[in-house]
Amino acid sequence: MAITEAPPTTSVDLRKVLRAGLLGALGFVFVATIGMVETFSTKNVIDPILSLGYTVLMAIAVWTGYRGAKAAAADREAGAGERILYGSAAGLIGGLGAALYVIWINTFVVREVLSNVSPRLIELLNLGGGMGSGITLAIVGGVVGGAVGALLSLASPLMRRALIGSFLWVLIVGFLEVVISQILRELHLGFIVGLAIPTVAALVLTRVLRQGPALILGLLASVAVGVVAAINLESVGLSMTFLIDFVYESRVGGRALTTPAAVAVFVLAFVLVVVTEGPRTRARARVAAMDPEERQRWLFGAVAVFLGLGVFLPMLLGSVVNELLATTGIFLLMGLGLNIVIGYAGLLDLGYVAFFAVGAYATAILTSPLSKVSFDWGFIATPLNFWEAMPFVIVAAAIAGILVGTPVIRMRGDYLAIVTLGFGEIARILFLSDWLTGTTGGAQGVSRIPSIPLGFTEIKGTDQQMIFYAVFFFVLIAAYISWRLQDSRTGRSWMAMREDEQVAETMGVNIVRAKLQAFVIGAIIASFSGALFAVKFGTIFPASFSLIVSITVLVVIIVGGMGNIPGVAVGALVMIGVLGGRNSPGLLREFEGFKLLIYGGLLILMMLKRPEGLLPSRRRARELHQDEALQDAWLRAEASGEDDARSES
Amino acid sequence: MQLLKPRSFRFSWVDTFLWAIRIGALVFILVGVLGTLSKAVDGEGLTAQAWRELIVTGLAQGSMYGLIALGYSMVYGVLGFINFAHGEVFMAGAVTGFFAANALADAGVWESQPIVGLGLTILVSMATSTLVAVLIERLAYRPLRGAPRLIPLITSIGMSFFLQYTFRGLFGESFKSYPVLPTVMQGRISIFGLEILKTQMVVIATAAVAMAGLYTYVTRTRMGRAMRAIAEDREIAALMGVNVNRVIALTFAVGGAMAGVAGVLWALLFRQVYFLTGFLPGIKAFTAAVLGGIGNMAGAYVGGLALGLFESVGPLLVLDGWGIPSVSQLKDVVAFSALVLILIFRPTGLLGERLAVEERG
Repeated sequence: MAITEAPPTTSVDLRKVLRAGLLGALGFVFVATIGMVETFSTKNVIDPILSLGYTVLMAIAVWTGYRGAKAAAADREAGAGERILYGSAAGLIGGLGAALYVIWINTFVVREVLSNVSPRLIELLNLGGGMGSGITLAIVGGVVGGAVGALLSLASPLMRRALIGSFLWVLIVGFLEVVISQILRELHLGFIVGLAIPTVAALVLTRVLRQGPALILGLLASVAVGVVAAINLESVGLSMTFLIDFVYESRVGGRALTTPAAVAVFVLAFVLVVVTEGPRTRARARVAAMDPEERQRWLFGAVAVFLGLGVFLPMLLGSVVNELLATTGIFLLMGLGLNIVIGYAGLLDLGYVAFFAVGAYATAILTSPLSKVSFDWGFIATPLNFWEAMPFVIVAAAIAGILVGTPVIRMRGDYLAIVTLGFGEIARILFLSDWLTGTTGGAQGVSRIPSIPLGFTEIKGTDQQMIFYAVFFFVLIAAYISWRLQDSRTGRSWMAMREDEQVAETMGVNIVRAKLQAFVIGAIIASFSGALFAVKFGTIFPASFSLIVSITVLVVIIVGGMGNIPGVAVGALVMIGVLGGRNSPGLLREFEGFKLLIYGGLLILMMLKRPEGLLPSRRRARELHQDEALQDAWLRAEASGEDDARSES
Repeated sequence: MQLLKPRSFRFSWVDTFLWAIRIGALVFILVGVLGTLSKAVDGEGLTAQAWRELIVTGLAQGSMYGLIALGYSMVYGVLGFINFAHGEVFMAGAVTGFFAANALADAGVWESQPIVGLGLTILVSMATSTLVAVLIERLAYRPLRGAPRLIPLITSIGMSFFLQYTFRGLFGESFKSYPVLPTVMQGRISIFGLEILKTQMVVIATAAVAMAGLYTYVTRTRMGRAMRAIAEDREIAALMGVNVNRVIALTFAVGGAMAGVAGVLWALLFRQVYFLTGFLPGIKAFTAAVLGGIGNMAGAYVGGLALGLFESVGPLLVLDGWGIPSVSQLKDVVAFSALVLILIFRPTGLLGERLAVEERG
């Protein structure tokens, strides 16, 4: 990137302001033309004043103003008035662009080519009135948004974070309507006690006992107490339903926040962010200063809380949210597997869905009574049950891992990506082909996959809560494997290989073994995911195993943070839970049509701005910013060198 | 070359396995071909005429792949990364070409002046593709120059999906059918005793012309020389006074223009385009680029033709011999297997000098 050699002028670089404005106008035209505004307008955020569609437009205006104000203050100190002036100017330019667009779509019929410029969109942009009100809205909205953006750029970082954060919280509470009202409906004293006991117990135990096994025993005991408490206290029942009516207003297109609730959430979040700023900084400093042993104990505590949540929350959530969580978990499981392949070992596998498919098909073929594959070895005979099929699934996945891994061992990263993508497609087409129809059922796939037997009960695919527990169980296994591998000999050889293959090999890392291990372990974890997927839906088709799945999982781990287990979990929750996975809408159904657009955009944005992900692994982040670190070191050396020279003279 | 010649004599599972794959693949192909031949001797299977048609179809599709492959190959030559979104550049041209063709058909030009109509359509398609290619370079790839290798690749994957769904958002998700071909271009024409479809002839000829034009441009002009200089060594080229940013943008532009031509050619062959049209041809064109030797322009064209042939003839020649039913479903498997096998057998491609395999030692 060229270093702009701007002389220390005192004049504002107007081109930057203009560019910010034009970019804003472009953003406006883009989201309007591809149909986002119209689709999002059906989702009310705050009832009845704000829909998601207008929120997006507003955000663009504010962002434009923010950039404009920044541009004004780039090379010099700019006063508040000046910043607001330039911010509004950028907003005005954006608004004028938007106004031209409004005039254009009002005057010409462009729908034959641009299919999403519908009458409804025009009505929305006109604010229900004629073209005049549309133009006014665009320009006024641009200027006001720009001014707000400029004000944001003036605020202190804490203030800015608090403001933006609070607004995001309002959005989140609006989006989580299904979850929150479900929880409020189910919530009674019993559950609160049931949740609180294991949490407190776990925290106390981590403090008192310093060891894992004792902790787990104690935790189990407290969970049992919690369950008993929950069942017994149900009759006492302190209902929370009154809160729902306060927070949400029922509308045709779903429920939205009421205005008082939105204000309350905003204020609450704002106060919380500002008040907790000090404690949070201190806590972060304390964590950084902790010795490894202490950190380990805290980690156990966090895991215990997570376990407690995983066990108790689904009881409250109802089948819709549980299904969402189960889907998220299935993707999270794949994410954890791919995290080993990409995050730890640095092998960009784009055909990861093939292993998922192998797991699903192996489970389906071995367990379905309709399957044409049958054998009887005396001690074991088809159709198997889920657990009997598991060893076969694992073996099949391992073989698939070796088959895909071996040919690509000597290929360079980018070739590896395309070749694995090819393998993924080959797998899907083979499952689909007439050639293998006898085994895989062609386009019809395999159906009647039975439920998972579990002692006296069973996990049915339709029982979302139980499926979630099954998924959760496997996620825990995968997370444990990942965690144990991370700092093991294997894990360290992967990281060495990721950073520099040749150096790693010279240092004695067996590249072939390391790569195959990554592929095989990744494949096995993906096959678990596939097996659960098969049970959950009861029927599998080749169409469920397209490249999109690989890409979705890639987005999950990139957004979350490659190489970091909590990062992958966050990525899965955000991406799959909110936006939705393949064929399964997330919380925001409105995003369905734009999911892949947003995935793509996020990939680009993350790579450009934050390649290490939202919750990065420290090591990975350091690798990715190596250049900068080197530059800093060089500059520092340069500076100290100058000092030395000076002191000598 | 390392693959073929292990440095020291040491038993290695991977080498054994790779040899097993090589031998297995050869046996598989030979047995398949023999099976098909024996069928032919028995008088079953396809007629000679049908084989000829398959070959011409393969060449027509192959020359299209070759044009797209140029974009991959040139960008790889200059920047050393796979522009995964190049298939979408091709799609952008094909989709906007549809609107141009439609407008021309409405105006009657398409029927009365087929050459002009087709030419204008190709121009519009080229313009869009060039624009898209240059834009993505400027916005997404330029800031990432010098980043670790996988980062631009992941960006380009993101860009690919972003473009696909932007086009879906803009123009809808329906298939867009190009207007019916002008009567002059329907039917067959006989060349060297071969009865071939006129459209296929047009496709092969247009691709050849575009290819020749590009080749002249790159070998004869100043900018072409600058391009080659950058492919050779970017830093030295910059020191010699080549404006690197401009030349890289130009490389994307030229690759995009070729993809735009290919977009209209695709529409001539298949008529229908939509927002996912670019995906498979994109990957196959990449295969073609690897097959011909990535970074090598003539290689891209040769690779494209070869891949087109493999794809149209391969399933019937090899898989049919094994008695596998409905082999045409497995067309894409043949293309992808070709990619894997090339990288195992001859990682430098047919004409290439660049190694697809990590240069070690």
